[in-house]
Amino acid sequence: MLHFKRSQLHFAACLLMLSLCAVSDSFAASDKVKLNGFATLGAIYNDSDDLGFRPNLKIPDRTGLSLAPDSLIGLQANINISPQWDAVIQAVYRDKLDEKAINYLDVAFLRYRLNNRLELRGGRMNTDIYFLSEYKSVGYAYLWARPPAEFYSKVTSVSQFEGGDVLFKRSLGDGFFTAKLGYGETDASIATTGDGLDVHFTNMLMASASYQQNNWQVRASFLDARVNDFSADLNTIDDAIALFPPNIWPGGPRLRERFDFVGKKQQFFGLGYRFDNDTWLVQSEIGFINSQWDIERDTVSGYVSLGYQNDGMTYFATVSAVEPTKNNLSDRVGEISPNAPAAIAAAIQSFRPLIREALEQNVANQHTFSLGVNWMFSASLVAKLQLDHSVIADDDYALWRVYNEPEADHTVNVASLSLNWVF
Amino acid sequence: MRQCMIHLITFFLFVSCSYSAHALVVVVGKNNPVEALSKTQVIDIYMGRYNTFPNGVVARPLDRVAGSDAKQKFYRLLVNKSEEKINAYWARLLFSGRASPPSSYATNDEMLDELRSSKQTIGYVLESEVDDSLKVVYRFEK
Repeated sequence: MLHFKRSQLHFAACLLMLSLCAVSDSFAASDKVKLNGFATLGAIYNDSDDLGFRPNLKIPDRTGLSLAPDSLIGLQANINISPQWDAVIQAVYRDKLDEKAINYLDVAFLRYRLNNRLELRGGRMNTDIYFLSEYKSVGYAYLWARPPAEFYSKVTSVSQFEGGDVLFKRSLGDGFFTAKLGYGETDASIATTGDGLDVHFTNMLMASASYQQNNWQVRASFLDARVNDFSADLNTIDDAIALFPPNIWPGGPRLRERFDFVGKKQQFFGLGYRFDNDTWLVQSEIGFINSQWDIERDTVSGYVSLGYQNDGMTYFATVSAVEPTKNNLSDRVGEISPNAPAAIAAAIQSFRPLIREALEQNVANQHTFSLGVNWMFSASLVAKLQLDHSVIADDDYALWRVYNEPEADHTVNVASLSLNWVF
Repeated sequence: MRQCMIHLITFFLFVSCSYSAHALVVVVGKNNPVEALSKTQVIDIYMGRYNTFPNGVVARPLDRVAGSDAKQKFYRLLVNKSEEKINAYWARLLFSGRASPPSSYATNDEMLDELRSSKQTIGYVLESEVDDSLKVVYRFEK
């Protein structure tokens, strides 16, 4: 059971979110509040009985035919308090691992516009580290049935944060430049190949920069977060180390340090490019995760999507992939005293398969080919059909729930059909 | 021959005036102190980049009726985008909490009334719709 040491920042953010709800209610009768919403009714069919499909690590997996992974409804209130001050509250109801009521609020922030170029925000916000980070629940606003899992799935664990950020923006040449710097923390309930886990990230530092001209946009982003708490325990390794004193197994404490998560940093670096001239659409992102914790492997991920647009229809193809970049992690047990009896040394060495298993349990190595069509049915309704063919290398199923261990290089097909509204 | 020339000149004048009357112009209310805007400044306001006029006064952009010829033509001239693309663009901005889209009205008359009555509003109209209560701040290049 996880007992989070809630920081003052977290409490302040929760208090602010509740205050914003109260402010929204009191302003609701006036024209200072604008209410809007979005919804997706989506069906998926996953042809694998062995691997459960999920759009990202915050959503429960499904096999067979299901409406749960993609269907959702969201409501947003924009509250104009004064020309300088405003607030935004967005609640999204959808299937997710974390069912705490406060976490159905995806966004709740108060903003102060210092001038035309500088904005300050405080509260709960989306982490602006990739193209869809601020509107990933709004199916109407992007091309695919859902963001490519290879790129977006892992980083969704830090997709929101409570804290503050500052936005700088200005016209530059023929385009528009924005830069954002944020700091905060977040809780997340995330899926694994087995049961879900809770993780608490602190000291989240985010930076992003974007430049957009009429037909194209480039962006770069960086995130640094520290794991502060994690609902998995180290009891097994603690028990093992307790059996052998340090003078017998000097490498034991070092091994524990390697598996310990508290204070370990996770970093994300992202680059993105988007081109859209009303006929051709190209979008691509690449991301690197650098981890100090061996259980969460360093990875590189990315996708390229090409679309052709004609008369309200966009036909698209996407290739996305994720793979670990650090493949030579040692499963050695560390130093064993030369004075240790042979039977004791052999017992310690017997932990190697367990270490290897722990190192391999969270590895994602797969690629997906997607074909689809996006049909703008009316000004407020978009229909999408998408077929995904995923090839998972070796037994690296970290993006799936594993019910039965399938054979190596397993393939999964997922078909998706959705209707997406804004209102 | 002379009569033929007069007919020709009259025809070109008619075509020219007709084209001008159907040209779109960007306007503000007569009481708004803004006298002129560049195309970039109009884009900044209509695409949600800035929420004020260059003088710092809050700007409230107004849109014509959804699906109207005027709205489609305006966004083609402004950023060369279809109305569908503009809708998707605004869905991204709105639900990311960055900005709210221009106000839209059920009829063009309602939009014109709002445009005339406020110092903060900015809109786009046919040149033929400009009267003493409105001031042209930007003309699209022909």
